[in-house]
Amino acid sequence: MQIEDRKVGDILVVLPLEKRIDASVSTEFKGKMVDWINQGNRRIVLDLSLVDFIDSSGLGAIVSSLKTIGNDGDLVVCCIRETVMSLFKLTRMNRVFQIFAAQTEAIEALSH
Amino acid sequence: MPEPASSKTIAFLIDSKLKNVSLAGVALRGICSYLSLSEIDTYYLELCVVEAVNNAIKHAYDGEEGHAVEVTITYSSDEITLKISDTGRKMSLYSPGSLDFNPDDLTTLPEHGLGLYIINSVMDEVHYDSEDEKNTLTMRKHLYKS
Repeated sequence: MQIEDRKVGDILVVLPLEKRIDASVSTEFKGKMVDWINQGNRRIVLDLSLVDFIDSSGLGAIVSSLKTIGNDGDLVVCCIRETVMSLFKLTRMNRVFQIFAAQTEAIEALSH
Repeated sequence: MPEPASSKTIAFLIDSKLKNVSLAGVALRGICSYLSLSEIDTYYLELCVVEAVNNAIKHAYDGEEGHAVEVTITYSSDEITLKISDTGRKMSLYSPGSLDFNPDDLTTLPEHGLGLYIINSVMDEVHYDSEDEKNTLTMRKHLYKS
């Protein structure tokens, strides 16, 4: 699974380059996220601008990443498409994650 | 009085590899486009097919490749029925899944088991049966065009 990552200060911005985060890639995605977290990245922006499909396995991997960070940091989401947002709403994950319209807004929110 | 809508059916087999599941989703998207369904309805229906096929591969076949998962899609102008069949281990107890967590307590957040919850939330009727060593999850949804 292709994922672009870059640091903005001490914030890690993660941009999946695939259209789908589904059961065929969710284990690999979760593994990469956990590696980044274990390397000390506690504030992460997940940019979903290129992702048009997430299933429950992909969503579970994102939730697992948030749980790995724990309360000593945060994982926020940005640039989420309307369709993917409907999955977050259906599963009430829109009440769990902070969701921002733009990447700059997400970085700004984590900078405080 | 309008004539009763006639239904049409397409059925196909996919090999039990998770990498193949997106093909079932793409096929469903094509039908949803033909029926002029909204983007959200299309996404929800694709989710249900994907979740059901994932479950068949992961649970009925224990993730083993080389087995067939049968997908049958029957649609009319006002209803769509999705049937996902396998010949693996049948589910001992079909549970619709639940979503009981506290958004403010990370330890309660679910990482697994959301698939059946999604299916039961999206579809109007869901039932699972096993007959002649064939397990079938049948999902039906009434269509309200955008």
